[in-house]
Amino acid sequence: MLLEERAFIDAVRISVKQLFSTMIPLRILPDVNPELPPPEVLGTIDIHGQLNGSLSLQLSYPLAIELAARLLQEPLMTVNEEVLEAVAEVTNMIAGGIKTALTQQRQDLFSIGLPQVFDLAGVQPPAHVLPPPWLHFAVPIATEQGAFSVHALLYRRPTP
Amino acid sequence: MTSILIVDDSSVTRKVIKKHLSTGPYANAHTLEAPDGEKALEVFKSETLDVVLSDWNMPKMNGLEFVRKLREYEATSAREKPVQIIMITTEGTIDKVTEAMESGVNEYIVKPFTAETLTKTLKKVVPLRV
Repeated sequence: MLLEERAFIDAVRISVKQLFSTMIPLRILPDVNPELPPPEVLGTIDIHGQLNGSLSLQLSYPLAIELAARLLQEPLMTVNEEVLEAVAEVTNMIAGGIKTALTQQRQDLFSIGLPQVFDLAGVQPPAHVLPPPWLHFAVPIATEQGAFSVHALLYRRPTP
Repeated sequence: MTSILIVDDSSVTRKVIKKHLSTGPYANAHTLEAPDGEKALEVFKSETLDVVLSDWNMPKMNGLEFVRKLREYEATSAREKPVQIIMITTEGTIDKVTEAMESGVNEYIVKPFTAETLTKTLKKVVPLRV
């Protein structure tokens, strides 16, 4: 198999830890199975290569606002364009970190596209309109400001 | 005064970089912005710049294409000295860093990064001017 679940989980944790120790100061809690709030913001980025599909983040509104505020170093109160743009950049950085962590073991597993963000507001994530993925890994991350999850949806062939 | 062009499709990232610059020794730098390689090339042709901070993955013209075109333009123009280019990107693999350096990038920063990393890298390529 091109991607083992353990390797993906480790890569996600390395990537998130790197982000939260540099641009977004936020403490990660040791809880490996936190209760996840309903996803309200989805950040997703396509990947192509030996692995095809997407890497995505699912966040609550409060955590999306908190991440954006810490990244921009300014108070933010509501989900606006700037918060969504910040989630796109967070998605981009976490996906890049995952790629770098995985590529230390293998060569060029995938290339990364441009991030997209969806304010779900009761809408299903766009991945649900695609055929069921070959593999779906989900990694919950607990932080001092709430939990979120990082997902890999992988297909055997390039994403339709 | 140091003149810096920030090229990134994310307005949030451009804002974060400007904030980092504003709190360090480059606080007085003149900063310009572009959301993609195409716009950045236009700015580069019309301005005198010391440093370009460029993302890699961008729409229209990505950072690598932009760097190659910028270096081609420099080679045929009468500019005194080449502009210093720092790539700031999530692409952190050795292959990508090598590709960027061979295309004309002077320094490389992998996102996420700190204000200290940005300042330290800037100091490597351009002396402080006030």
